[in-house]
Amino acid sequence: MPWPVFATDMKNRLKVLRAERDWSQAELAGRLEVSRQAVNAIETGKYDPSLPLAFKIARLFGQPIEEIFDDGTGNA
Amino acid sequence: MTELAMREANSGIVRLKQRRQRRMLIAAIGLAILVVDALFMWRQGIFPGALSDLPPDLASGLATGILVGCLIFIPLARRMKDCDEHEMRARRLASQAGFFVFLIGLPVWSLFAIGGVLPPLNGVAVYASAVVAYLAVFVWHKFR
Repeated sequence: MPWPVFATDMKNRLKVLRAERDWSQAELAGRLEVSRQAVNAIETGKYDPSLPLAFKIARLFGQPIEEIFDDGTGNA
Repeated sequence: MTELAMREANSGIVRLKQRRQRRMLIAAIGLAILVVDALFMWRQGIFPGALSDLPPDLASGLATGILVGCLIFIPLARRMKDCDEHEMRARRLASQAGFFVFLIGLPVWSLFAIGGVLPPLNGVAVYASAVVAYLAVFVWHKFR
């Protein structure tokens, strides 16, 4: 029986997608209407965005959420 | 009632709103009890420290100013949504840290003071510790 997951082990491709568009963290933060610290925290995996913000990110990059975020279980 | 309205009435969104309202009510009652309790303790002289030396009128004025400031500032801050969800989380965690420092610090210090390990309880010091804990946790979660 697997251990219950209390802490998420989410990974994301935000940094790669941002780099592909040559955006700075501040620029991406402005487009998402969040702080630069929030973008940094998401990119480094220290913070998991809410569903509305995840959808916003997905819409901004024109990709499905599961293409950007990976919960590490392979159940996407 | 249309089918759509009925579906909405039975939906989780309505229950979520009701839960939020209940939580707000409980939080408001808790806060009111806390304020009354703190005022009672202040009048009984349970919070000794530097603030005890303030003239009574000035102390009452300051307390009223703080309460009015909170009543004006908190709704304004919520309305303006001046922070994103990341900062809201940092604030929430910081609030919890400050709360627990106060919740645990006060009785522990009191008991140690009774046991002769620590000097008599100083409410201002406990309050300052709670503020420091709040700031430290906030800065850690916001800027690390």
